[in-house]
Amino acid sequence: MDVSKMPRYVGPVNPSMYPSLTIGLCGLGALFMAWFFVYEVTSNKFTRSLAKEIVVATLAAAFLGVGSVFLLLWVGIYV
Amino acid sequence: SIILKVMSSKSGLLRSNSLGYTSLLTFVILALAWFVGFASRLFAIVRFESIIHEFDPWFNYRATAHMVEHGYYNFLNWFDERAWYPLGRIVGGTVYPGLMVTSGLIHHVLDLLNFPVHIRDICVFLAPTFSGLTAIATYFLTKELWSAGAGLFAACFIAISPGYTSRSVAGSYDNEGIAIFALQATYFLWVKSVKTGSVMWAALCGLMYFYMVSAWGGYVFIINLIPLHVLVLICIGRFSSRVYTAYSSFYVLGTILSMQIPFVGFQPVRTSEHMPALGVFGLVQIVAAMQYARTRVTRAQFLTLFIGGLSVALGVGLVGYLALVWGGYVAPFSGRFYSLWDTGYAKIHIPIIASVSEHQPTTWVSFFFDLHITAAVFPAGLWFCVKNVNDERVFIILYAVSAVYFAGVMVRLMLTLTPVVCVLAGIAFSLTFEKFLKSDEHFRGSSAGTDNKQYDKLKKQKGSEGADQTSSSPDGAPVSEDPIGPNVRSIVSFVMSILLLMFVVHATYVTSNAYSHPSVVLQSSTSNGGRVIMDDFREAYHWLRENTPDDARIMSWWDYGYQIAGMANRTTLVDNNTWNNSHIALVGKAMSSNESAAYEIMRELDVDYVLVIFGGVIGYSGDDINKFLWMVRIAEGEHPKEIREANYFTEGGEYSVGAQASQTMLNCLMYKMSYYRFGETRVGYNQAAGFDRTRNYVIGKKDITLEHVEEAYTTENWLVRIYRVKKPANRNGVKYTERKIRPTGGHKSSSTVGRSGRKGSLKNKAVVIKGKRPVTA
Repeated sequence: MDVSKMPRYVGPVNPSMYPSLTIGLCGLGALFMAWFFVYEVTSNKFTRSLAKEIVVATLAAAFLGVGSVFLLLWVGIYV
Repeated sequence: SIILKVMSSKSGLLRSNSLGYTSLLTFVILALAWFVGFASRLFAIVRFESIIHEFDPWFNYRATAHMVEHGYYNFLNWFDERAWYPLGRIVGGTVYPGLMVTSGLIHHVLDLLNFPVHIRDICVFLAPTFSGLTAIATYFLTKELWSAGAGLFAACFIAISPGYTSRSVAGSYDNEGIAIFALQATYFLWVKSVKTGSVMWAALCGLMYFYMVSAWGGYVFIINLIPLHVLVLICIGRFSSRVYTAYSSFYVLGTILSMQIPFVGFQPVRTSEHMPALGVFGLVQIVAAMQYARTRVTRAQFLTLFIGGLSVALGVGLVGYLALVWGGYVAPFSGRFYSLWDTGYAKIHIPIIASVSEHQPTTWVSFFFDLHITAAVFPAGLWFCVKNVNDERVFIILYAVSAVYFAGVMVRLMLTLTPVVCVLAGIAFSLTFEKFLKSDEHFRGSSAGTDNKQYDKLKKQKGSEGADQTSSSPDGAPVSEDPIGPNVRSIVSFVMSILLLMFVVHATYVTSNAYSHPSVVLQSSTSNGGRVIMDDFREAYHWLRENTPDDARIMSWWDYGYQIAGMANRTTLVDNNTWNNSHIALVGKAMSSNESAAYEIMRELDVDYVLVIFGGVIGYSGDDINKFLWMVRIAEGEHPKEIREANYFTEGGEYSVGAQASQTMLNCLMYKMSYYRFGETRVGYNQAAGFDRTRNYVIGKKDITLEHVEEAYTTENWLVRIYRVKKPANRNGVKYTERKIRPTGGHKSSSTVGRSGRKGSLKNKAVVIKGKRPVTA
């Protein structure tokens, strides 16, 4: 149980990828968010479809969420 | 502006989506404005650390921490016995709880989401967050007044405008941070309710007004501006049922809600500052009744009813008001607000108000420094509002005029001028860009040739008469403005864009250099550019916290009271609340008297430690010796027989601590405590001993001895000096000259050297020889 003999833990993602991952994922998330926003503003009761809303919102949330994790890692808050 | 360009360029193909893109663009711009406003206030955090700045925010932080720890009702009922010893302070009844409640609520919500943030961090970052919300509220207000484009300009202006940034940097945890947001939101809801005349908007306005009252004492401005607006609308004949509904609902709801704040209490029906609102409320009922009666009675009857009724009502109102003031039921204008009208009043009667540096009149430099180009452009926006007047633009005109007056009276009120300047500058810029960016599509039916002819003709007309005229073209299609050539358009747009860029640069520069000082930590740079941090304040307060008993009382000038209470956690005598002038005058008297008289006062007040700020070693100009004259003036106000300001001046009548200083000055407690041991120190290698860097001369008295206080701690750069008050001596020694019984003789004569004169030997000791009688010597 000697600590010095155990292999040091390395995270699954290469830290040099943090910036590109952040910008990519957050950018995609922002894109989906903008799409959702425009859809909500331009649609009325009749043209709105719940399926499309849910799909776009889920994608936006997923991308923004994962992107914000990498944003925190990039900035130095090692969550 | 840009939106119109987008809209006009995407003709046909994407026109169905233009609403979507417009809203998206608006959302993105407002989000960016929030982000920029937040980011530009973070200079102090990046340079130092996340601490609370200045003085007042320390009390707000302490109150918020108390509320988070003990609960809301314990906070409302909190009696603080560690301030204003021995009087104590009823905190629950003398604060505006909105700020603490807001922070506490955010803390609670984040805690519920399992996202624990320390209350100090919430307090530090609250003001930048609310600056973004202020930008959004300003957008909505300007959108109601003019257009969405103007709204975006105004939002971007107020996000970075130095006049607002100065009071809302990160760390400046003060009421103004949330109050300006509440102000703009209240004004937006008021304008909306006047436009629509609906009870819902007026009720929302009342609720937001309640939040404003809970946040800041400046709510008096709102409760006087809105009635003034209604009055002016009545006078210029724009009274309608919408105004009636809006004001009645707002006044009733707003007043009842505002009386729920313990600090405000019954003031809305008892003080003169709130009387105009009540008067206009009554007037509005009367005018509405008149309007109702006008269609139902004959003209002659109506005239007598109108004139007679109105004059009777006005007379009764005026007489009633004066009677109530004379009888003491309604308080006359309080000193703070009266000094806004009569600017010389405070200096004579209330020296505490006059001594605050924020209450001095504003200089021209401050106007430019805080507002930059918006100060030059906003009169244009005001003029446009006057030219195209309607009900809500009357409001913004009144707001602008009153805000300009008040900003001229006091530097502190530049803050209330900034929102209206941003709104009007936004309107001006929006109109200008609209005029100069839009291509000339409104010339219907005129060919290019006639266009040129018109252009030349109008130009000649313009040149010959030198005035901008509206003229109709010979074709018959009405032309309200001269057609503008493409060169002029591009030049003007370019110049305006440059102006906007310069504004951004200036705002960032000012925020970074002038308004991001924590005041708790001082910074200077060495000759080779390195940074020197002087953390003396916190060093001293930490020393107090660690090395003094928990119930020690600290006497200092009122500026530092909140910081001592917040950082050192010790009982103070006077603090920044300045609610008891006599108590402050007592402390001032102690500081300005000689040591024995001061010792008496300090024994009466149970003082254990005295704290002074001394800047003579590093050249800090905000120290107590520079503030000393105000201490003397305030003490003189209460004890004119013992303290006289003239005694502290030199023969020539100037204030000095140098060689020509008067004896009273050189012997007073403040002088002694500031310069104790300073006479032997040299501030630089080539300076004389006792050279004061702040005053730039050698001090008058160098050999100072302290009798009743002793030095407890002096910080690294001599900035804070703490003295311990000595307990009274065990025996009151009587001076030798005052003794009634003097010891007689007492001299040793040389003849008695020997057995009788030595210590330990008995005089007249009997010598015993065995067998003989003892012989006494």
